[in-house]
Amino acid sequence: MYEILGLSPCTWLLALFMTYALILTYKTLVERDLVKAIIYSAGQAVAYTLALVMLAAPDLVLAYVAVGVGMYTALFLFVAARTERYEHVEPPGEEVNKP
Amino acid sequence: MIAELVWSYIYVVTIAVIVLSLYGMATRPNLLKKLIMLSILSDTGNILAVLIGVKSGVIKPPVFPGVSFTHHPEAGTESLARFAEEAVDPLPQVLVVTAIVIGLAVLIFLSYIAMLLYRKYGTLDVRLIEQRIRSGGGR
Repeated sequence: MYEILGLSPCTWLLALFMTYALILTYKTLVERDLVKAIIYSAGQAVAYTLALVMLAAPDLVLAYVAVGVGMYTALFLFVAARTERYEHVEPPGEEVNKP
Repeated sequence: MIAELVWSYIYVVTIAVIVLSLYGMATRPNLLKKLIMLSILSDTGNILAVLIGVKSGVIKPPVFPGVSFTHHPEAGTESLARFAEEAVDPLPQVLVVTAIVIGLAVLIFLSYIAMLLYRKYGTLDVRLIEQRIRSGGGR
């Protein structure tokens, strides 16, 4: 069987995709624009899908690529469209519109 | 040596994603950002469960040897031993299929609650929601 440094190529690709998922999780965490954060998390779901391919779980890939890339993104975009697009991390000032 | 290093690296990265998403859920004030980090957390838990089922060095799908659409061989001791030797553990994969769908249902429910909160208080920021609840009611 074909090997690179004593490991199958699947394992190296698994490490690569998990690194990719870690980077995209960090980008999701620091992003203030929520639509961009949702797109980053969809990219992270793509990385997890490819990692599941490398983990020899084709049935999980079929379920997860529909849920993770499709349904989660559509759901979060729907919520972002109905509510607000930007998050404000700095503490809020005095309440302006007090009843 | 390199194989153990790479497998430890994969586990460390998975734990790091879990820690990052927990940190994001704890510190970000926006409810939608919390939901996004919660989805990442549940998916990473699923990936970790599948990853535990993989014996290091063996990555083959859990398909019983010799089974095709038309041919179903008898499950003898030696074929079972060969299956356990050369395939990943199928039990976490079976559990995770259910967990993915349940996670989707939970997230839809939480998104609905977040949208109701936005309709009542006019913001998704949990600090502002707390202020407005303390000052007595909606926007």
